[in-house]
Amino acid sequence: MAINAAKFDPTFTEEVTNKVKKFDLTKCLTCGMCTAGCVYSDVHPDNDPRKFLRKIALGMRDEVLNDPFVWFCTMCERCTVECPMGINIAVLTRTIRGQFGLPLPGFMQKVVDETITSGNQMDVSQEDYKDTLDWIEEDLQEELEDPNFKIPIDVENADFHFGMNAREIKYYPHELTEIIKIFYHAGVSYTLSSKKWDATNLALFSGNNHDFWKITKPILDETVRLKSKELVVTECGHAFKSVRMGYKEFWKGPEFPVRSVLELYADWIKDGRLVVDKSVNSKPTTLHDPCNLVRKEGVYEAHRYVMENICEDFRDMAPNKKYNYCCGAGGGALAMPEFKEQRVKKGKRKAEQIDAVGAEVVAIPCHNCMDQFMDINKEFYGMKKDMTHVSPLLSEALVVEECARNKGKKKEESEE
Amino acid sequence: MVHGLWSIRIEMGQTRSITTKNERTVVHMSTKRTGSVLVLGAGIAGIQASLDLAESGYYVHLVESSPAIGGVMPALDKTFPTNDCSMCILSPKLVDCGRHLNINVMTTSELIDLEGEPGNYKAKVKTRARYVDPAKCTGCGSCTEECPVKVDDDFNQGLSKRKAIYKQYAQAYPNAYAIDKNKCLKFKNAKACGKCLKACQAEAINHEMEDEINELEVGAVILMPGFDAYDASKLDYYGYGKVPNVITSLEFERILSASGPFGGHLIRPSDEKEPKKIAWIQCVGSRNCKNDHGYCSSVCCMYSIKEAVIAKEHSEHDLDTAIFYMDMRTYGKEFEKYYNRAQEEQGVRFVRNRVYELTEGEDGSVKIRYALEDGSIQYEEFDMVVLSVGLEPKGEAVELAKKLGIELNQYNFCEAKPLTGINTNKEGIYVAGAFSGPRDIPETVMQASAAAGEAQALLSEAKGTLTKAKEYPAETDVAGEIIRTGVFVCHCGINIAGVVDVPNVVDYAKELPGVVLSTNKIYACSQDSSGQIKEAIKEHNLNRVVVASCSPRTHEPMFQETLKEAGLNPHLFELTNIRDQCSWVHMDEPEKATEKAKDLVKMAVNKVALAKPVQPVKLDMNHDVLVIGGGVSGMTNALNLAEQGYQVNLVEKEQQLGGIARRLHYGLKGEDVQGYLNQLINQIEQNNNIKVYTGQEIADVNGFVGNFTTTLTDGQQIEHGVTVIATGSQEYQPQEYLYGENHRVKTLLELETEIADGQLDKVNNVVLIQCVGSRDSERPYCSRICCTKSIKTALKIKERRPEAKVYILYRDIRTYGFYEDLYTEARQKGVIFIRYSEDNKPVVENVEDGLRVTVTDHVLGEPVEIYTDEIGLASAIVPPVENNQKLSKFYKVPLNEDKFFLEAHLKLRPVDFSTEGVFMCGLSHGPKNLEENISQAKAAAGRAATVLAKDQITVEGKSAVVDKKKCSACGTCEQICPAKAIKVDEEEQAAVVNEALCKGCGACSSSCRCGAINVKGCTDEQIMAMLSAL
Amino acid sequence: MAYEPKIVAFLCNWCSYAGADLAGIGRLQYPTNLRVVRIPCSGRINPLFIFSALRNGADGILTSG
Repeated sequence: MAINAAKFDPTFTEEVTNKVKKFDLTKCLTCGMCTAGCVYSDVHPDNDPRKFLRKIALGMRDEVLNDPFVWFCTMCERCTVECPMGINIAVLTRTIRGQFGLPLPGFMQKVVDETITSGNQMDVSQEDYKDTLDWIEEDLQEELEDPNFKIPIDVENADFHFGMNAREIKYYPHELTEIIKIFYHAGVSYTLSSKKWDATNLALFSGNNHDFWKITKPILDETVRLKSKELVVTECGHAFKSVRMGYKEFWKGPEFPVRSVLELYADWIKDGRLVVDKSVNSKPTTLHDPCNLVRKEGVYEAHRYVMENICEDFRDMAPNKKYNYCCGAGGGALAMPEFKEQRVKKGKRKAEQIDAVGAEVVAIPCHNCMDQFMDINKEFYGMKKDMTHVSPLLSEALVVEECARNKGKKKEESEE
Repeated sequence: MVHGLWSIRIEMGQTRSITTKNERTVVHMSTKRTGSVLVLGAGIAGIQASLDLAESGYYVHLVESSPAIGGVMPALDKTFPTNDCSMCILSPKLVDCGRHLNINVMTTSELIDLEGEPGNYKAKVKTRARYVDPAKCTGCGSCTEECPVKVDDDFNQGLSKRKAIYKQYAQAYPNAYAIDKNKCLKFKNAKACGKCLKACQAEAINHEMEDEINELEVGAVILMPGFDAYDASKLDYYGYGKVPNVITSLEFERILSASGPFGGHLIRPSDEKEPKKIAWIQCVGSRNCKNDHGYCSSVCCMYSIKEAVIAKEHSEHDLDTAIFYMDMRTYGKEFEKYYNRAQEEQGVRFVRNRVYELTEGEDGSVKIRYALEDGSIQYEEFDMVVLSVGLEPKGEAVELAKKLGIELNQYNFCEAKPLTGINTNKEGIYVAGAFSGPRDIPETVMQASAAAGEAQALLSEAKGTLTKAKEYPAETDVAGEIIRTGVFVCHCGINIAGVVDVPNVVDYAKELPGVVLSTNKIYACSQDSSGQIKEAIKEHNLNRVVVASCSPRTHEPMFQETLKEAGLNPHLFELTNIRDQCSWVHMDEPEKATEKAKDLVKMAVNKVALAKPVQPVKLDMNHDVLVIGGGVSGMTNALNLAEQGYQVNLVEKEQQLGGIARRLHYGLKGEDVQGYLNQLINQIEQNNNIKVYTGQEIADVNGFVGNFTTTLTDGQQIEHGVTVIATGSQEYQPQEYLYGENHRVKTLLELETEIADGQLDKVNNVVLIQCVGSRDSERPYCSRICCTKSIKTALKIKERRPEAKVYILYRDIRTYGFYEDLYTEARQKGVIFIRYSEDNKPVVENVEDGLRVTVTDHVLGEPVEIYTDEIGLASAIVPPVENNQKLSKFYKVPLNEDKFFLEAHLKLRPVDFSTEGVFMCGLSHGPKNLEENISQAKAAAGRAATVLAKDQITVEGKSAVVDKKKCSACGTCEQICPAKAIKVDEEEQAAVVNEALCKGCGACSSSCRCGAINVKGCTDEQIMAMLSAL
Repeated sequence: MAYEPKIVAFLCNWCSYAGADLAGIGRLQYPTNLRVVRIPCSGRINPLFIFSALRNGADGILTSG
């Protein structure tokens, strides 16, 4: 069936172009660099970025809006990170998803709506939040043998305001414990917020900017309210990217840095606040580069530096950094269970990368990626691999008595 | 904006026409003009312009920043599309330029300031100390052997080492060393080292040497600083410098080169293994808006094909080569055929995909994951990957241009002003070569000659005021002398000596009859060898010379010049080819090659013993010009030569001037073509030096350079010394796509007229189809301008009716150079580009709903049906075959297979014919756009001036000679002579030779029944003597 | 040793001789038992030359132009 060129609608192309603003998609040379660059373009049908872009450039409105690519694309930006015409497929995908009235698949919209209502994507109540923190606090008082230990909440003028992923409250409180423990040993000044503490934002993937800003603005406001010097986001790529994007594109308030906690870890190891012993983590370990943290936001070295210092047998994946593969579940794929088949197929390629490097432990500094790696573990490894965040590995490697806080303490003690 | 540019052009034109007629008021010239020109940059462009100017009566200061002239060409291996060895075709020019009396070569020098006005500039030139006096240095190389400091050799792209005291390349001119101040130990500590000082017998080294600043008076300046290659390490995804065996195309040139770091052995530098599979990645640093290199570098497609073809030839096994590209841009003359041959005969693979990344594979291989057009993914590993790096302007040149107030374009290239070819925004300052935009060698050479032509027009009143004439010593009379032959056997570095046992040949020659001296030379063609040969002639009283080295086709004139300088007749010389026809073709048989070399030397010694002096024939020179063709090219050429002061006859077959440009409205850069044309015609008509003949064609031609008589169809006869063919070409009349059947199917030129007339202002759909009549089996050449032309047409339609949908159906978009910006703009303005393949062409049909075009979209792989109001066919540029064949016979100049005129050399003589005194320009040479035709027209003027400037015509004199006593006046020779140079004189009853016409082919001699005819310089006796050496 | 004929080639300066140069530039390898006489044109070849070559020991003659 031939395509009737009369249906090519230049106004559609123009509409998309106007919405993306930062680049001109019509400059596309159809060179195919993106098709070659998308490592998933050949793992299942309807995943060729050039074809998707071509349809937009030709003004094929219906074909674009009904293109499964819109949902298959993981928005990882690998394909066009070096596009010679400066085009960004991820931005186009997001624009088509969220700004043409398309119904969202799976439970993506549900999560967005709940985040707007409850302030966090796991719909955790404020009471549960408080209870969890209290419980962590008690645990830590015991573990640290410090009965005076308090988790700082709503403390003004701290060095940083720490934003987290709601999963850390709901499913991974033990990991949050490790993070807080690291902060403790580093002897740093920080605060959590009692009101808006979840930094994640699924509207990053649904593409609706109205929803997006409703979700992200409050956490930036909190940093201002608490007079923190900066906002630091937990090891979660999309939370980090959301906050950065909100800050860069919509924020009109006072200026402050937004950093990933991994960058702070690296600094603390460098300046001796944290002293680590890599022999504790002796298994062959590799590191995933979450797209939202690494390729999109340019954090290439910090998590790597941390890993090199806390693992005896650190092996970098190939390719890595800017060119590392997406986990296969970017772009909110986990919220679209109907496309699980495609997601798992993509995961296979990620698994091949892990195999190639021969790692038994995979550090994944992102909650979203982590869920995909868990599935990869189930599908391809019979759960034999150890999939972990960076913080628990770091916490494990700490030589606590040498760390900043304890050194100070020792000093105090000896002075006494 | 466009009008602004246009008005500048008109102003400049007016200024010019006033200033060149010096009897009128001189607007901005206060003093007499200076008869010298500063040429900045001594690459092939600088060398060509310098030679053209110096041969035409102007003194040249050739300023070059490196220690040697030559530019990039010496570093290249072969050149496309002829596969000539780059160094071999360049080296005669290097020598001509280096030894030219009227060219002051200033190496390690740069222009630092320029003051004054057109015609009278004061140029400040800084010459950096080279710490070796080129006048004393013999180039022997003893210093470099002793020097302990090893440095990456830039000339070899860092693939090998040189020393801190070095010569840029083996055949460099000046043949003198220089010291790399940053690396030399003595500059770090005065007491350190000094080994070179001890080694140098000539006392040429001086570490105390200081920089110098000279002020030169020049009438004009030509900027040709060349280009820099794009730094491939900027594109981290191609892994240059990280992934082993990813190299640049320039490195690959050095690997292929016989004078390169591996002696031409195809290996990969990392582990010296022979690759079995090589890939080329196109557009590295080109066609990339992300890094501000949005333009096309114009040359990479061709050089990559060439590298692939040559690599296959070099490889002992079946080398697999693949070129990854977006659009194959083989748009130049004979390029498309080269591409076809590479694909069909040599088996080079072409893969249409811009490669995403290069990653390290097993055993040093490089992995490529690529996408085919249908979106399917392929994985391949290559032993080596070559990055086809683009061209960018040199940083120093950009700085200088800014300082001088020379306007640059957005990419910092010094793009010439519209429709001038080579003019900058400042009168008297011209630009040529890659600094004005990425371009290949022929175009660079063309522009160089054009700039020379333009400078000559500006400075014509000062012609000959500053030049010096060469005085040769009186010729020694060798008649009756005993034969004293000197034999010089060349090593050619290792080119000869690596195979042939040179000392053995030298010893052998010593014993040959008449030989009184036999010796060897590392490079017989070098400047110092030339001096040594001259000394040897004096010292040993030689009266015959034999050089055993390379091909007489390239080097004979150079050695003959040496003989003249030594007071010997240049024909007492023989050059025998023990390289191209011995060492290079018998590389595995050194002993037998040595035997052959000995035989060849013996043959030459025997031949030269019988050589007699041949005296050149001098004839009067007519200084008028005939330009055939009154289109833009012919008019531009005529105007330039008229401004140089020559009388020009301009013949046009139509009733009015203008040629095909009369059908053009929109220039590719937005120029008003009709306005330009009218102004040009006006200038022609106003010029007293130009006589126009319209409605006339050429009916007959007699004579030769300096003495042509051309008869026009009305019987008028024109006497002239030089002929310029500028007869143009035509638009192909399509047989396809319903042309001539449906009135809405038009050619691009027809469409252009309709746009100009406003007939398309309400159009909704327009389809433009590319390559109509080009790149097919009947016309296997690319018409070069149609892609840009169609895009410009599409933009014009969009400008006048933005809501119109315009489709361009193409095979490869060939918007080379800055025309790529137009392609980008067209996409941005919504022009839809759909690629079709030759085996799946668009189908145009009359259907019920109207005119329908069906074409398969190259990305979606599905047919697209376009109902359209208009179809524009980008129809081929075709030569007027009959007319060209006629002129080809008249002026004895060849046509190529496509029936365009064929130049003397595709690379280095792009507007000359091998027939002296005949030149060409414009579309008669091949498809080109208006801007390029203008440039070429000026180039033909620049070249013609080198002939016109001579007072007399000198013919070599190696002609047939008749022994009247033996001649029976049978007339066989007269029938057989292809040059019409021999006639039976009825009175004398013997054949008489016209030496000016005789080519010395000898056909008369071999067919003479009486044995009455011999050929000077190649007598029967000489050939017999050669055969007796067997 | 196997019989090796001696070949004399008369090559036109403008085409075949240039072709022989090109063989060199392309490093095409061929047997060494060929001796080239460069002539200004194949029209220059006098039948006499061929006899002379044969008389001087050539086993075969190649003329090309």
